[in-house]
Amino acid sequence: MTKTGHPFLEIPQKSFTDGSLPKIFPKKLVLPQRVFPSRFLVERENYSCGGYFVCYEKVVSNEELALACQARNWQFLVNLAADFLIIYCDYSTNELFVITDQAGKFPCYFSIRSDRLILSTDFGAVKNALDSATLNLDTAFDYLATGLALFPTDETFISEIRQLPPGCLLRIDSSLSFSVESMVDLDGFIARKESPYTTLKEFSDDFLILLGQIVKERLDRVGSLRFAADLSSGFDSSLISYLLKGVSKKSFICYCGFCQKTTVDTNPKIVAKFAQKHGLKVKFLNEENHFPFSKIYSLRIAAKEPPKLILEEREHERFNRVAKDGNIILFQGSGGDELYDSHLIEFWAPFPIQQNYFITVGRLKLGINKILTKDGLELLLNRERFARKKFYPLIISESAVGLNLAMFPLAWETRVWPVTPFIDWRVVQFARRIPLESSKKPEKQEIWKYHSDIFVSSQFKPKRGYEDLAKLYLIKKPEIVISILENSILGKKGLVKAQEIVGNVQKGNLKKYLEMDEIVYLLYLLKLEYFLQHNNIKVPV
Amino acid sequence: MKKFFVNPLGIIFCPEIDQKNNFQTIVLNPLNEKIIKVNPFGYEILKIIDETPGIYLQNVIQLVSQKRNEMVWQNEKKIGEFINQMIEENVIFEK
Repeated sequence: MTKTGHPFLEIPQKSFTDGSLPKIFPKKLVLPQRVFPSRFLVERENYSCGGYFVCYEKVVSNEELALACQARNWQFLVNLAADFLIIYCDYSTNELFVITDQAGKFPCYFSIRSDRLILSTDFGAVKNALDSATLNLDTAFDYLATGLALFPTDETFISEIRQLPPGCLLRIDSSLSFSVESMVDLDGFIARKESPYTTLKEFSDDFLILLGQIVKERLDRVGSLRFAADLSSGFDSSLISYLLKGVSKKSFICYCGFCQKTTVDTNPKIVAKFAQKHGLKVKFLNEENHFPFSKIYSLRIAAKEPPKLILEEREHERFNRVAKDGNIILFQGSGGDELYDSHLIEFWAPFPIQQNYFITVGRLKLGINKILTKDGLELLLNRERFARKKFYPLIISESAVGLNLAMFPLAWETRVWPVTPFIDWRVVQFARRIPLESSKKPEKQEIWKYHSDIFVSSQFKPKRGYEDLAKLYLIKKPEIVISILENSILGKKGLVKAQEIVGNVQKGNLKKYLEMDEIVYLLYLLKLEYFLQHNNIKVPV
Repeated sequence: MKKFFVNPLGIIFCPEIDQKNNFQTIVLNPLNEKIIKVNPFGYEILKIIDETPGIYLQNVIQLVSQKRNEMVWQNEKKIGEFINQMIEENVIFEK
C-alpha cells in the first residue's frame, strides 16, 4: 500500500511467463478498504478481478462485474453511469486488463519498465518507484496553458509514466506490451439524439424531473451513509441540494464556502435566503485565507504532482471539514455549467485536436505571452505537437472529467467521495435537447426563470468567479514566487520569462499579471517548477 | 503579384482525423475566435498554401486543378473567392 492508502500493484515481468501469476497477482494487488465506492475482489481458478465499483443507474453485483470482464464486455461497463476502477487478471492468457469509468472518477497511472509493471491511482507512488524520470514537455506545456483541463491523453508529466484516460481499457500481455483503447461509444451516443424541445419551460420542467430521478438513484446507492452537499449561490449546487432535500428522509448539512473581502463566486446572504426557503442546514466556511500557497501543504502537494485545481487549498479545507464532520459522501453541482453546451457535442466530436489547438491559441489573448518566452510560445503552439496527440473520445465534457481527475487525490485521501449528478451521460443526452433561439444557447437565468418556487430572486443575477481569491498569492506571498522562479529550470532553458517575472515582482510591478488569466498561468508555472526542483527529473531541450 | 501564407494559428492539419472526416475541417479566425467549417475543396487549398508558404495564386490554381484532374478555368473563380474569404477571416495572409 502507498503511504496515502492508494490502490497499488507491482508485478515482475517474469510472473507473466513462469506460471506464478495466479499466486502473485492477488498478493501484490493492494486495494485498501473503502466504504464508498466499495472494494470488491472476485477470485476464480482462471482469473481474479478486483477494484472499486458503484453503479448509479442499476444494481450490478460483483459476480456480474466479473462475468462482464470475463466476456470482455468492456463497452457495457464503460457506458454505465458508474464510478469504478477494475483490474482483471486472466490466468489462462496471462493478460492484465484495467478499466475505469468514463467520468474520470478514478485516475490510473502506470509504468512499464523492462522487468516490471507498476500501477496506482497515486501518481507519486508510481513516480517514487522509478529509477529515473524525464519531464514530458508536451504535458508540461499543456499544463501551463490549461491546467490539463483539455482532453485527457495517455501521457503524464513524466515520460516514463502513462495514465489510463477515462473510459479506456489498458491491456497488458505477457511480454508487458500494452495497448490503450477507448470504450466510450461516442458515435452511438451522438446518433441517439432526440429532437430539441420547443420551449424552455418544457425543457426545464423535464430537466428537473430527470435530475430528480438521478439524485434519487444516487441517494439510494449511498444508502445509510452520512452525506453532505455543497451549496453556493449559483443554480447548480442549489438545485442538487433542493432535490436532495425533497427525496432524502435524513437530515444533511450543506457546506457553503464564501469570501467576503474578495467577492468570490458565492454570496452567503443569497445562500442563507435559499436555505431558509427550503429548510436546509448550512455551515458557512470563510475561505478568504485559503488562496494558493496560503498553507504549508500547498508546496508538499506540488512536490508530489503539480495540482490541476487552481484553488487546491480551498477544496482541501472544505473536504477536510466535511470529513471531520463524519460525512462519507459530498453531493456536488460540478459539471452543471458544461451541460448547457451539450448541444455542441456533435459539432466538436469530429475535430478534437482542432478544438484543443484553438483553445490553446486563445490563451494568447489571455496573457500567456507574459509568462512564456518566444521559444516557449513556439513550443506551446507547435502544430506538429498537437497533430501527434492521441485522442480518446468523451461524452462527458472535458472540463468536468478534468475536474473529477483533479479532485481524486483529495477525495481519496479525505475518504469523502464526490457524488456529481450532473456528470452522467443521461443528463448530457437530455441537455442536447435544449431549445436554441437563432443557434444561441439560453443563459441559465432564462432556463430556470420558470422555477421561482425553487430559486430566490437574487439568484437570477450572474455571479462572479474565483479570480480575486486566486490573485492573493501574488499580492500576499511574493516571496514564494521569487524563491521558486529564481531557480527556474524552464527559465534556464529559455522557455519561460522567469527572470523578468522575478524582477517585476521584486519591484512590486504586479499589475501586468493581474489583468486577465496571467495569474493562473503563473500559478501553474510555480507549481510545475516546484515539482521539477524537488524531484530529480531530467528536462529535455 | 501577391504571395499567400497560412496563418498557423488558424488551422491545424491532423492527417488521421482529416482523412476520417473526408477532409472536411474547421478553421479559426484568431482575432474574433469565430470557427468556420471548410469543405474538402477549401481544405486542399489551405493544405497547398501551408505546404508552400509564399505561393502565388496562379500556382495554387494550377496545383489544385492538377490534383482534381480538372481544367484551370473550372477552379479559378472558386479558388479566388475562397482565398479572399480566408483572408477576411485572418486564416490566410497575403504579402
